[in-house]
Amino acid sequence: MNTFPRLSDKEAVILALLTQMGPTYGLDMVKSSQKRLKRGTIYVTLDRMEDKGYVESWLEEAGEGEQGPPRRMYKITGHGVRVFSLWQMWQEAEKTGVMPALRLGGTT
Amino acid sequence: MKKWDELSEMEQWDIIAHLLVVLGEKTLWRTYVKIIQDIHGKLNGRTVKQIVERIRFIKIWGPSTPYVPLYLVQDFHYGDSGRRELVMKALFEPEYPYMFDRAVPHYELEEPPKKLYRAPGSQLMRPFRFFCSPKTLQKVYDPLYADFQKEYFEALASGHRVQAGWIRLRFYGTVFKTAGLFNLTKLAKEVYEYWKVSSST
Repeated sequence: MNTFPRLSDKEAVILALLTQMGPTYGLDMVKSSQKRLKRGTIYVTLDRMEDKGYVESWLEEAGEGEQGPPRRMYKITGHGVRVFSLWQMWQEAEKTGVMPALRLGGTT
Repeated sequence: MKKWDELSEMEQWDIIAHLLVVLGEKTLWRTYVKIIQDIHGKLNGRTVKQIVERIRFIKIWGPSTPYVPLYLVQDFHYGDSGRRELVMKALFEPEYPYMFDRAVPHYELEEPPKKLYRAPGSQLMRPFRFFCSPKTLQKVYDPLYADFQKEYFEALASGHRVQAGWIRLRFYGTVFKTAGLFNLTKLAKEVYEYWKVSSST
């Protein structure tokens, strides 16, 4: 049975960005994603990912003189980090044709 | 509060010009405008003090002073006695320029008041607040709204009104797109759950 996690393209991009950038907000991720994420879909995806436990969110504290409602900040969870690194291994294995389990027990 | 000598030349110039104009002393203004024009560009604290001393001298001694021609002070007036008190107080305080600045509020009204803009989407969000669950609102629509407002205010603050208008339009489009996508996802999830339950029985 395949126990490797499946991530959609959007989920993988979000986890990669959160790993690189640290805690950030949705619009920042859209801007940094080089058009791979869209404003209209990111929050739906983030909501789904939060339900799965990949990310967690909180409301940003408003700075002095800032206008508008507070923004929601997102960060990757420990579970998200594990899932993402497993997913990366799986992707690499698919490219090289070497299964991670075999590689782990292979030439050392 | 800054000391007089801590002010920049432009600030000193600005205060003197207002000091003369705001008082409504047209004759004095005509007299001193020449001096001020002469010192404009090479204004320093000493010159300013000399001018202000001269004004103060006229204020204290008024028309009876032999050194001041009567025509210079005959239309010397204050708007009302309260104003006079403020002006006198302002003039005799060591840090009077800023005291004066505070004492005459209409000094601030040189620039027209800035126009107020309604935040984008404030009306649009109302039905969403009514129909959506608190979780959906909190996790999907509120962050979207907050992001767009930040962008919108940044564009306005930097004077890009056309860009701000475009951000507003794009916000409407994005909200409807998100709503459509969210409802489709929700529907698909429910159909899947229903299918899972019905296929297991």
